[in-house]
Amino acid sequence: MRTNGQQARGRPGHPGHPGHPGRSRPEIDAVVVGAGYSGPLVARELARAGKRVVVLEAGPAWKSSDFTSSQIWARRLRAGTGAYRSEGRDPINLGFNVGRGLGGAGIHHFGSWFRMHPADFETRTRFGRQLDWPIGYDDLRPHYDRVQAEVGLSGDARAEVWRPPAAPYPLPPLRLHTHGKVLRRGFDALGLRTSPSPAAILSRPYDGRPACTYDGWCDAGCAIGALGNPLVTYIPQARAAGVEFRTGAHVTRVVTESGRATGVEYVDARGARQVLRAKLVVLAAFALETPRILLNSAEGGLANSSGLVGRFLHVHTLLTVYGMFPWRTEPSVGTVAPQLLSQENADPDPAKGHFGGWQWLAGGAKKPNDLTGIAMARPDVHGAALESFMRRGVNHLGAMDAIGHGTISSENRLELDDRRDGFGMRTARVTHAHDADADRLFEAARAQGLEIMRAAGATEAWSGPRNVAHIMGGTIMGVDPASSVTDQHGRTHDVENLFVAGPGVFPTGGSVNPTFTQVAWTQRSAEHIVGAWGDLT
Amino acid sequence: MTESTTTRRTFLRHAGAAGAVALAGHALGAPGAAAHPAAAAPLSRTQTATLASWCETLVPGAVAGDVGGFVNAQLAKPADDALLMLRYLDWPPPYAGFYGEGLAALERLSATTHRSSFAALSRARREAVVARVVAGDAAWSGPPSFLFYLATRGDAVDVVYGTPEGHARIGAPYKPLVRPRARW
Repeated sequence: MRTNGQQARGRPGHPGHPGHPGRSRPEIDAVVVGAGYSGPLVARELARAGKRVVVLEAGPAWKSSDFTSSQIWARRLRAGTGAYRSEGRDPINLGFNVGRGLGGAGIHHFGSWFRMHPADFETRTRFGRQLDWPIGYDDLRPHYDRVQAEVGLSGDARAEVWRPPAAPYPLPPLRLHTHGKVLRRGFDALGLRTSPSPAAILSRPYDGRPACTYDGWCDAGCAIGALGNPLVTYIPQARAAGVEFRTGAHVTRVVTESGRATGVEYVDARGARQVLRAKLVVLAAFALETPRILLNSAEGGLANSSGLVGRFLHVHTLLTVYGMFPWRTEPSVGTVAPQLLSQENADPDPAKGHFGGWQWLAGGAKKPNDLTGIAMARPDVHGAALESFMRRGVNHLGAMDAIGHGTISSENRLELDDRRDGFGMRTARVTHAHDADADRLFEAARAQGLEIMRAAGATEAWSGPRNVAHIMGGTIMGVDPASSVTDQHGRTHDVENLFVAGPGVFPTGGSVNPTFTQVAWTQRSAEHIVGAWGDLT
Repeated sequence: MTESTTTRRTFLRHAGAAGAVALAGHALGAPGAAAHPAAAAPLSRTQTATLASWCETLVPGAVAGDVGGFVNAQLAKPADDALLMLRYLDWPPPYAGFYGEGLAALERLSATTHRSSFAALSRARREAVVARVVAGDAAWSGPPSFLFYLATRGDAVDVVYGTPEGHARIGAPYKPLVRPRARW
């Protein structure tokens, strides 16, 4: 039986038809835009299937040897945000969440890898709230299992009582340090279960990579590769399979002919405008840049018949709770990923008074400076009082984060501005506001967090402001082309050889950090592309 | 600040990163915000002195830590290489305008309230100006005042506590996996 794609190419007027006069000869099989986690993974799978693949990355060609133990030097790893402005009642912090260069945000991410829970894939069906995914947990489970073995996850499956059915972790959990032990007393006192927090950080040597040294500089870039960022996983694997990476390459638009993608236009590292023609295009440029490229690619946006490119942008609710303890906590020791996990409140069921839940991530390493550092635990303190606070804080502070369900709304969006960036692309405006459920979730988590801190023995307990973390959506997947941008594999409904990969396809984000799900979903999508190659191209 | 003395309003006022982003977002009409590959000129000697005095008031030790040198060195780089915490706060490059306009606003506020440049004020009066900036004084005219406070406080914290020497000063273990070749 011939597929729709084959039937279409059989028509003389179709650009895929050999006799079509406007058909441009592809230089390569696939071009992938973005070299974070998703792009190199897709590229690896395609190259292993014999395809010629080029990955274009706007930022520099980082190497692990570029990384140094300094929060000051780590600033290079995150994107400046001249291309976007953030607004709305609850604006999204863009600069801290976006990556730059080979490895993308994977370079500075904390390595906290969790599976979404089965209920998170079908909140519309189960609770009448938010959106369903077009796939369920069972569809992703084998890919979660395979990815955790590839990357090397550390954890304690037995202690993690909330974990959905899954293969055991390939590595034992990371070591528990003083910070985690102190905070665990609070959970224990309140009868809240905890487990070692699972992480894409090696507790033992694995696959030629060394074990973690617990120095707490993970988000400055792991120089030894104990944290399984793309520089030590998918990028070298893709290169070994023959993938070419071009850095300093700013993609400005997807090029199309007669409704099919024929490649991308980009400005290379020398400033020259280039067009790279390919049979298939994959946009894996993160939840902000991917929709910006699509909206810049055609009047009204490419693959935007639904009008939803840039819409349903979403984030997790983030709250940090602090405590000052009379005994030493050694907050700078360990990993930036938390030492403890508690998902006792992760159930999104609105029966409790609000939709959405949260997980506690307790005991992540804190350095004195930076946006999430000890000095920012009390941004109001200055002068001589700051020195006093810092001397206490570097040895006696405790901190934990609540990651909660975010708000899913088409009004939370990325739109083009009239301004243009240095490459001629229109810049973007990002608008975001939480809903009443998120407000209530935040207050409930805050009350519990303060109670935990006091139960742990803190002499002072306070919370930071409501914040956000993890940018998702903007090119959401779904079954109906009228209410989504891509199908379950990231193929855009409108352009059959144009794919999106990454957290931008997530219709919802549950209450867990998204990277593990992103990578597992990407692997599933990549396998599909390989299997359907003949139909797609 | 214990929980019992902390109101929601207080936290919204001291909103840290979240508040700073909101402030930055509302102020993003900045000219040149979109095209930013070129570095802007560093601060003048007078501006640098004002910045140093301001940062020393916020974080004692900032002058000894060469906060002026730090900020000027970053402003002289292409924006993508700048190591300023400001890049996390969603203020668009080039960043020199933020500092220049913020310092000018600080000097205007100081002149209005105390008829003196900020650097020439007594310690008590400098602290009074800080309180006005944090509170969002109506006379402030420049980048959002709390964002200016937060970003420059971050610069001062970087040079005072963020280096290996700064860690040692307050008894924090540095535990470098790879010791930085330079402070910045």
